[in-house]
Amino acid sequence: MIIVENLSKKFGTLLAVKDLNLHIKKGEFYSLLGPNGAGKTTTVKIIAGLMRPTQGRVLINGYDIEKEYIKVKQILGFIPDNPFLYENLTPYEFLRFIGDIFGVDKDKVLKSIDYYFEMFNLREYKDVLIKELSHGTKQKIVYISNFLHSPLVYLIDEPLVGLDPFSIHLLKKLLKEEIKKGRTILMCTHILSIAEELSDRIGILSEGELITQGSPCFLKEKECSETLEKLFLKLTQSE
Amino acid sequence: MREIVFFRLISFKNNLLYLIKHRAAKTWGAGIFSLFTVGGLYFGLWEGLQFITSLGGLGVVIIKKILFILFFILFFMIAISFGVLFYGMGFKNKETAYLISLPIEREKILSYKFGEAFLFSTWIPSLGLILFFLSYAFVARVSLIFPLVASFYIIPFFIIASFLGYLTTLFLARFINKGKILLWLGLFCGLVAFLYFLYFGNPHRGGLLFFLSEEVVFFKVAKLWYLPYSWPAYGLIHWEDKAWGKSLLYFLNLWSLAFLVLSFVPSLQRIFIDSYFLQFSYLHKKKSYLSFVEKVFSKINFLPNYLRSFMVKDVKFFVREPAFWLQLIVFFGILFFYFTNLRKFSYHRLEDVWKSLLTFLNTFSILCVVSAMSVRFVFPQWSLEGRNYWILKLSPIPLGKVFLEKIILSLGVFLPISIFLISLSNLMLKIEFLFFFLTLVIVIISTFTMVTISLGLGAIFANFKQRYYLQAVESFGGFVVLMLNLGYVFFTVFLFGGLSHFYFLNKLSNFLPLLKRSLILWMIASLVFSLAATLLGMKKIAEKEY
Repeated sequence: MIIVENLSKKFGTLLAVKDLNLHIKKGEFYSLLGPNGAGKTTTVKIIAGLMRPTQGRVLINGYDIEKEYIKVKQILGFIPDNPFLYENLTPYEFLRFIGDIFGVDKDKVLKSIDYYFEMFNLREYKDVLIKELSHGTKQKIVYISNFLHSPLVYLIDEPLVGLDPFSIHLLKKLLKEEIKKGRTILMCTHILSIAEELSDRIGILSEGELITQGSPCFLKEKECSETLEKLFLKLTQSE
Repeated sequence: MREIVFFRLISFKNNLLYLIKHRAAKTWGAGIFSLFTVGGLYFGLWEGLQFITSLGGLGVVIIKKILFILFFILFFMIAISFGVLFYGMGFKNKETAYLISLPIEREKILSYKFGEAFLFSTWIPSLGLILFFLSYAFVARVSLIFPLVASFYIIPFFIIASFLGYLTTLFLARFINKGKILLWLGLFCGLVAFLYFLYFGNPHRGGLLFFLSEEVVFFKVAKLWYLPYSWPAYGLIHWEDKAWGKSLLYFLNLWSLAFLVLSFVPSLQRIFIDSYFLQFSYLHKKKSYLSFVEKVFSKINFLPNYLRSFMVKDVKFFVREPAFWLQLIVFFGILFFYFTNLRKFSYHRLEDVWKSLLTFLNTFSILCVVSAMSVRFVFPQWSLEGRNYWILKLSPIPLGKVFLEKIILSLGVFLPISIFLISLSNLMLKIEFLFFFLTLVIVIISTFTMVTISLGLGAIFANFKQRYYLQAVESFGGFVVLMLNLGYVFFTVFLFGGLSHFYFLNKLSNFLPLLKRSLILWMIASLVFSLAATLLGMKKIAEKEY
C-alpha cells in the first residue's frame, strides 16, 4: 500500500533522510521510531505530500505522490503532532468543510459528526470556536475529520499528544478497528509502549537512516533485548 | 525591557544574516527592487508636485492644503493601524503569554508591545512622508534640510496617533463585549456624522480658488489648530515661511504631548492584563449567523460545492476577526470625506478641462483605495492559511482551484465597490458617456489586475509561520505589492488622464484612435500582468513545503 523508494531529503547541507526504503502492506500497522531529529516527521510529511523529496519516490496504492497527487489525497488521512486548525471556525463548521472538500455526502457527514461527538464527549464544544479549545480537544477534532472521509491510509505523527487516558483508550480501539477494516497505518512516535501494543512492524530511524525493522517480537529476539525500550536505546545510542 | 529588545534585535540580525548567507541572490534582488521602488516613488511624487506648482498661485494653495489633509488622514490611519497591530501583537500573540510567565514587570512588557506595534505601523508612512518632503524640497526650492526638519515633526505626531490607537484598543478589549462592537461603532459613526454635518455642513459655493482655500469642509476639519493632527502641517508651513517662533511653538507642542502620552503607556498595564485574561474567561458559541452565511452561498449553485465551502470558510474568518474588518473603516472613512466634499462642487461652472482632471483624480482615488484594500485583504490571503496550510495541501482539491476561489471572492467584494464608486463620481460630475465608459472600464480592469497581482504575490511571499496575519501586510512582500499596485495605478491614470487632458486643451487631433489603441494595449498588458502573477503564484504555492 505504501512504497517508499530511495527517499532522501536535504535541508541545505543537512541530510535529514538518507536513501530510505519502506514497503508497507495493506492492512498493516507500521510504526517509525527514532530519537529527536531522526527524520521521522520529515518522512511522514514527504509521504503525505507536504514536503518534496530531494531524491526518490513514494507510491501510495500504486499512485505516485508527485504525479497523481489528487488521487493519493483522496485516500489519505493525516494526523499531525500539532493540530493546527481554522481557529475562527467551530468544530462543527470545520468538519462540514472537510466533508465538502472530500466530497462526502452531507447526511453522512452530519451523522458521523453526531456519532463521533457523542463517542468523544464533545457535544458541548460543537459550536465553540476552535481557538478556544484545548490541545487534546483539537487533536480529537483532527481524528474525527479523518474518520469522516474514511481514508485507506492513515499517516499519524505522534498520535496521542495531549489526550486524556479515556481518549487514548478510545483511539487505540478505533485504530485497531481501522486495521481490521483493511486500512493501512503509518505512525511515528516516541511512545514505545503504544508502538509495541499496536504495530505489526516497527522501523527504527536514526540520523535519517532506517537501521532496523521487523515485528516487535522479532526485533527483540534479534537484538537480544527484553523490552522495546532497551532495544531502542541499544540501537540508537550505538549509532 | 532592554533584554527583550536586545534579543529581538539579535533575532532580526540572525534572520538577516541567514537571508544573506542562504538566499543571497534573492536578498540582493529584493534590496535592488526596494531601491528602484523608492526611486520610482520619489520621482512620481516629484512629478505630481511639479504639476501642481506649475498651476501658479493655486498650486501653492493646493500643496499647503494637501499637507493638512495628508496629516489628518495619516493620523487616523496610523491610529487604526496601530490599534489593529497592537491587538494582534499584544493580545493574540503567544509571545505575550510567554513574557507574562517571565519575571519581567508588566509595565515593561506593555512598553515593549507598544514599541513593536509602533514600529510596524509607522515604517511605511515614515518612508512615504520623507520621500514626499524630499521631493517637495526640490520642487519648491526649499532648503534640503527640510525633510530632516520634517522628520522631527513626524516622530511625535506618530507617537500621538499611535497612543490614540492604543487607548481605543485597550478600551475596546477591556470594556466592550465583542458582540456589541458593531453597535458601538455604529453609534460612534452616527455621532461623528451628525456633528460633522451640524458644524461643517453648509459651506458657501464660490470659485475654485476660494473653494480650495477656505470653504472645503474637509480642509476645515483638517486645519483645526487645537487638535494635534494639524500641528505638523502648521509647524512645517511656518518653518517654510521662516516664521521660526510659530514653527517652534508647534514643534514644542508636538514633543511635549508625545512625551506626556509616552509616560502614560506603561501605567495602563492593569487594564492591559485584565483585558488579556478576559479573553480566556468565557467560550464564544457561534451559531446565529452560521446558517445565514451558508444559505447565501448555497444560492450560488453554479459553483461547485467545495468552492462554496472554501468561500464560506473565508467569509467566516473575515467576519469573526474584528482586527480584519475594522480596517475597512479606514478606507470607507476616507472615501466618505472625499465624496462629501465632492458633492459640494458647482460642476456646471467648471470648464471641460477641469472636469476631466477631476474625473481622473477621482479614478485615481478609487484605484488607490482598491490598491490599499488589495494589499490589506487580498495579499495576506495565503499567509492567513498559516499553520493550517497542511489542510489545503492534503485536500484532494488542486491548489489552482483554491486560487480561483480566492480570486472570485475578492472580486465579488471589490468589483461592486469600485463600480459603485466610479459610477457615483461620474454621475456627480455629469461627464460625457465616453468618459463614463472609459473610467468604468479602467476601474474594472484595474481592480481585476490589482486583485490578481496581490493574490499571486501573496502566494509567492506566503509565510505560514507568521504569528499574526498583519505581519504579512507589513512585510517586505506587502511593500512590494503596494509599490507594484501604486505603480500600476500611477501609470494607468497618467496614461488616460494625460490623453484626455491634452484632448481638452485641443492639443490632440487624433484623440479617439489613439485612445482606442492605448486602451487595447493597456488591457493586454494588464491581462499579461495578471496571468503572470497568478501562474507564478500558483506554481510557488504548490511548491511550498509544510
